[in-house]
Amino acid sequence: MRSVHDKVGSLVDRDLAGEVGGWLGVPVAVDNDARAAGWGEYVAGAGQGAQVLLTLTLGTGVGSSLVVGGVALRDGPGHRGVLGGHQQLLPDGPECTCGRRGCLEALASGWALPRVVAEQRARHPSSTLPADADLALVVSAATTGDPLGRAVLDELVGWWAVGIANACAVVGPDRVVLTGGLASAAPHFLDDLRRRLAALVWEPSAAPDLRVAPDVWASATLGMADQARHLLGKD
Amino acid sequence: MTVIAADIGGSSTKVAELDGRRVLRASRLPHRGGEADLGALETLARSWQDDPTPAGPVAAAGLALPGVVDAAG
Repeated sequence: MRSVHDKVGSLVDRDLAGEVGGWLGVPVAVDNDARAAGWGEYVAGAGQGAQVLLTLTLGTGVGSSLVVGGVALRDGPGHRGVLGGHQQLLPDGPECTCGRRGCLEALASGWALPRVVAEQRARHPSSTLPADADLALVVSAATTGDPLGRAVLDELVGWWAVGIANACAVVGPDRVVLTGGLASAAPHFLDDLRRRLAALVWEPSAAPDLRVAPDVWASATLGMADQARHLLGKD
Repeated sequence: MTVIAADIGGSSTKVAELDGRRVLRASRLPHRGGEADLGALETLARSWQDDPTPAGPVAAAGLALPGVVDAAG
């Protein structure tokens, strides 16, 4: 197993399939979490039937994956689809976990949220939204008219729209699925995200079908369960 | 025959045991950091193996992690 960054700390450069297989006494598949989530949505969730499926995991970080013609792109140079959270949108923007600046993940993810709240608070000082608010609190504030909550949500949705539109310009997905913890708040921002995306894609009529995973906490486990079954020769 | 699938994420580790695509049991473990997350997963997975569901023993497993770009290493 390799990793481009240090997100999994001491687990990098270890034979996790061998280690976990050693405890359990069974074969073990290991994969990137965003690719696993995309595969889970393709085989059992909101991505079923897509020809070109882009899945975006909106959680602590931002991940992505592509399933094209029923094949999950993987490995190889460029890591084929999983680095959508590290598309650089603001080269002089906030520092990212990858060492660069202004990646989508640095602008609109769970770990970026406290910075967004702090920066927007300067424009909306009367808000009572706490500094460590999670997205659920932000959404709650936004829906009750708190200007800081509204501004934070607008900023996040705006960056997600740009990130998805950029990916659409390159790969032309017919379906985009959102999953991950932040996507649990999608009912409060999905229509807005669709509107922004339609305005940003090259041809509005070709905007992808944007959906949310039926269970945003289960996408990757569904995908890894399917991969595990494949180890056994089961479809 | 069942499989165990785990997703070690930035805020929690999601673990499920499935028969086909039917979830038999599931748990979310709080994030504690790489090695501790793996240890907590081992404890849970072993406890499930010691108490199998009527669908039978675990035959394979899958593990998803952030930052992993391929599984070839």
